[in-house]
Amino acid sequence: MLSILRKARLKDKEMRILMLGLDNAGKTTIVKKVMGEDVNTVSPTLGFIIKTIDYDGRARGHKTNTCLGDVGGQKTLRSYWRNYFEKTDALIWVVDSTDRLRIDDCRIELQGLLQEERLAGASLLVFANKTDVEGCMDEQEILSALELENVRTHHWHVLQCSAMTGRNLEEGLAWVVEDAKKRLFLY
Amino acid sequence: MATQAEVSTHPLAGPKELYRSSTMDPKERFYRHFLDNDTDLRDQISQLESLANVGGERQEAIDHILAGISKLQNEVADAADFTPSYDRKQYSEAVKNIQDALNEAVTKITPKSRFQFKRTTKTVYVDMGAPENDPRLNPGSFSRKNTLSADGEESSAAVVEDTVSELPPSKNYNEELSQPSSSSVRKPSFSAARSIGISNQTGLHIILPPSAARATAAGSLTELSGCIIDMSIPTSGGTAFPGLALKNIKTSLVVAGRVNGPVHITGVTDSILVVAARQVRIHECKNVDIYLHCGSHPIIEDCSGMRFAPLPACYVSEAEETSENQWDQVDDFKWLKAGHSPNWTILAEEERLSPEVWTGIVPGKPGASVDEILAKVGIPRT
Repeated sequence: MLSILRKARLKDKEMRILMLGLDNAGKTTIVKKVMGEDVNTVSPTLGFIIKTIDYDGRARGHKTNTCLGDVGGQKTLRSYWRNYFEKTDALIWVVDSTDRLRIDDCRIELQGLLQEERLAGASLLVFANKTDVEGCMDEQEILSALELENVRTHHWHVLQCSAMTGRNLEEGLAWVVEDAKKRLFLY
Repeated sequence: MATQAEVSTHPLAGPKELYRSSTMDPKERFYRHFLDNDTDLRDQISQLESLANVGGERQEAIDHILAGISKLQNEVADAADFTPSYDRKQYSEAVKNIQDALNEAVTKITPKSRFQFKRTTKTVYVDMGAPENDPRLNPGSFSRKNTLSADGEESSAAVVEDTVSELPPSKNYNEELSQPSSSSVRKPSFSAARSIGISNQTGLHIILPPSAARATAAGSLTELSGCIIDMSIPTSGGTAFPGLALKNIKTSLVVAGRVNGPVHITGVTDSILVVAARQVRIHECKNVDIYLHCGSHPIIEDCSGMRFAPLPACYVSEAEETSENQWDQVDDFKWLKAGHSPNWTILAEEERLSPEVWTGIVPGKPGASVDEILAKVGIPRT
């Protein structure tokens, strides 16, 4: 039974990555930057954006079709996040490193997500975004503010990035894809 | 395979055997252990009030409780692989409740400071160099400052007091603004500051002079009522704010100037705002007229009685002319149905303030009081 499932998975080779975070964390800007679109005219997301990226898994030599879902982070929309959990292989949590006032909100929302059964096992990448802004929180600050060291239920990884300059975005996606692949394809 | 080996030697794999050694059902055993700890912590919290504040006795007790909470939290995480997810949620909620109880107790017993330093956005930081905040020395637990200040102004002000010597010396412009003087017009230079933070002011006319241009690294205006604030002069050149926050403002006129990033407008009532920004996010506002230049769709959430108008010509600079103004493309997150949201309208042209008002009345003149100017621009709405 399991081998059938695995084969089915291998065949479509599609990976679903869900990108969440508080409003104004820069989720859409990250997607736009990755897609090479203009990042200066991003409106707050009212709903859901799906992009398909042909991610070239160089190490393995085959292409992985990656679906990147970006859901708006406004309070009203957060209750709809759960509609997108099904079949999510990896979760990217985007944090605004300049927003110290709401980092507690950010932690609470993230902890709530990690309790979700349907997200169990998904790889978790925390993007500390906006690191191009002077005076933002450093990695240690984010680690302790989000209490990431207590997370035992998911593989996680923190990366400092900037959607404006593009710093570390590719590296982050590479980590997510590799980590999820290990689980999906290589039992 | 390599991957499997990696999983089992993952650095985060905790002491899983902790609760398994006993013959009792591990779930049951953990449940009892949790309950014991829970009651214990609550007892300690209730005793806080009776401890003396001098000599750090109380702080020590608070630290002890914090350590206890954090230990419990770690244990819940460790127990995750044998507790069902529903129980896990219950445990986390229980831990959160203890935290809340502690925060409440701490706020109650913290003495009110006679005056409080309102931190500007730039100075709201946890000094990672200070030994008590170094997460490396204290892995897994949270820093004392973070937890306490999460509970509001009162406790954070108290914390500021004992660390004030560590902070770089900065001029307190807000205190200077509050000093009584014959005229209500204030022109704080902000020349020695890196960020602009104006808060807790009533009935003042504040005009930022060009010297504040180098302080526009960040901006925040909070807790204002009956004020007129003009920040258009220092931000009109190449020194726009990268981000700006307006919070809890009532019956005021705010000319916020230019923002090269997002503006957060939260809890503003019965006011007029003028702003040019790349993104505008408006939350929990009521009866606000916004004269806007926005490079993307402005959004509102939990708002009512909002009226939108384009940026008045006298505030338009070259930067605005090059980008499209989407001031009327408002998205209401509380109105996802078809049809126009009832929470906002376009301010009819004849109801907009005329150019003469912006150039003649808003800057003020000798003898004109703040209340007179506010009445002339129609605040509050009639």
